[in-house]
Amino acid sequence: MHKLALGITAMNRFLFEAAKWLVLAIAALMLYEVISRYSFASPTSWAPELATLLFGPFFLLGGPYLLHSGGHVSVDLLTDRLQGTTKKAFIVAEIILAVAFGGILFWFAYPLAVDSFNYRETSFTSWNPQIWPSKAVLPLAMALLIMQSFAELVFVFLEEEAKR
Amino acid sequence: MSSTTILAGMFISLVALMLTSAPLAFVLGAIAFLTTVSVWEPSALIVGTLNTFKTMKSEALMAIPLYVLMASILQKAGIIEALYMAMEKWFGRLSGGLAIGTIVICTIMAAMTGIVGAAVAAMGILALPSMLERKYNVELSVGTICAGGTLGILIPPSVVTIVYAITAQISIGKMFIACIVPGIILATTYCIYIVIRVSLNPDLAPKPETVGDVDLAEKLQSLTALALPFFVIFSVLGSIYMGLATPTEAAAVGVFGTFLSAMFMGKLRPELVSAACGDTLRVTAMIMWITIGAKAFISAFNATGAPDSMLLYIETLNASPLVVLMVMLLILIFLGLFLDEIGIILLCVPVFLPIVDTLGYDPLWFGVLFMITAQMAYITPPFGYTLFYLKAVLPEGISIGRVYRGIMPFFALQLLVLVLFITLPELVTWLPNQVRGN
Repeated sequence: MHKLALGITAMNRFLFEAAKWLVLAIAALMLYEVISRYSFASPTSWAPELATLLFGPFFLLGGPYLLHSGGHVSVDLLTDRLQGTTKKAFIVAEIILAVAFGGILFWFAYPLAVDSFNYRETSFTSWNPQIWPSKAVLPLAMALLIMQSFAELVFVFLEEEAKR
Repeated sequence: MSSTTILAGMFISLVALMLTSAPLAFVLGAIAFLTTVSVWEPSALIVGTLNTFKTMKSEALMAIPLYVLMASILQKAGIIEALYMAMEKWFGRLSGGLAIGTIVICTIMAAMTGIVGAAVAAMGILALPSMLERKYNVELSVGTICAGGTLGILIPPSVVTIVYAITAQISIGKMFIACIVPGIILATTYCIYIVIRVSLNPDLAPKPETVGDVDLAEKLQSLTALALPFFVIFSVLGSIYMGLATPTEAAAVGVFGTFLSAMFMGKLRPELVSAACGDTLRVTAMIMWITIGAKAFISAFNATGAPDSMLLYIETLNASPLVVLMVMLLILIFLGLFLDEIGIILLCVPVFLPIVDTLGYDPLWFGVLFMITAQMAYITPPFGYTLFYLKAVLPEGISIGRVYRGIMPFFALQLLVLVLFITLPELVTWLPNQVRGN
């Protein structure tokens, strides 16, 4: 159990570390667009659009690991000094909320992403790329969030056992 | 169920769940989804999903990681440090000079990227030790750093401003222009306050004992440290104001500028870029996940019909617009005590802006007032971001209580400036109107 939880955490950390480089690609694409518009007087049709397609995967793939590292904004007014069972109950509540959030978005985004893939949906712009890879990241990120929630649950209860 | 019952349910569960210290993103999202399911039918949830797809490809929100990346590289490459050295040479001799210099640097940083955390952390590491070494008053020093750091919210370019403009559906460029004069006024107010305090009580900021001036040649030579930051400021703001680029494209130009600057400093190493990208993803993911949750919450809120009944209620109240404005600002200041700014914008702006419109106020002006309440929120406990950043770099022996006392006068100054802009809206609206006129 513990190994599985560690594995999930390691996978999400890896995805975080991989996704963080996308910001450089986004910056480069936007810069290229500005330069080609003014220097070569020929705006590209694809650079800004490709950047926006990378933006979603960038921040979505970073999210699940934040659940582990405590990077999501929360109000720790009451829970700062809590210990023991109450604290555990609060963490469980947090995990339930994360699972509800991830589960519902997954439930609705998954069929949309599958449709997008089956119909080879395109963006209807002048570049007109297929957009399913970007769309598919939403259900994927939610699945990863649910898995990380499970891992956090394991950590909470195993830590308790280890103390005894 | 009446819309009032639903609304009460939504807000009670919001407060209750927030207090469990669960991440705001999940609290907002989960409440929104549960409300949707219980009030309408589950298939209505698809709207939330489609909204999320839309958020994923927002060109305007894409500016956020780019500005965060700029700030992180500027800080890590030692460019801020070089600026601080130059400032020490120029202002070090004045009484209270280091504090004034801190405000000046915070203003310059704010004009480059406006990431509050970067400014506070950098000044906490650079300015605080040197002020304490010179026996500056602790409260004055930490207050200056916290208040100076928050200038980044108001002075363009600013991430909070971008989120406000997007949510309010007004032009980001115009919002930036509207924030320039208020930003300068606020920074100047801080400097005047420091000068007055120090001249009344010179013990607060003793002059250095060793006499002997830094010679002019050395002073002028130190000015080269300003060249890189001004190059960055010019590349970002210049390309926005001259209409060459959208704020997002300008941010990309700025990222390029900071990379050049870092290379010039000989600091552009892979480890630095890797760490900066990590910072960027952490901050961006935090903001964007809240955005997803808040958007779902707001669309559920709007679907209850509550905004319309609220507008109707305010009209029947027949209260003077000023009173309504005050109530809204008080709510913002109050929420700022507990909630993150991006969260407040996403929650309140869709609710408040129709009211602002109905009252006949300028949304740009309201935006500036909002940014000032946001700064108040950033320096006040328990949810003051600057306090968290400063706590991380605070030398031992300085209690957080002294920090709280230190920020109080600056909170009062922010309040003063807020009142000033309420009574003299022209200070805010003049510049954007000039631009609009052309």
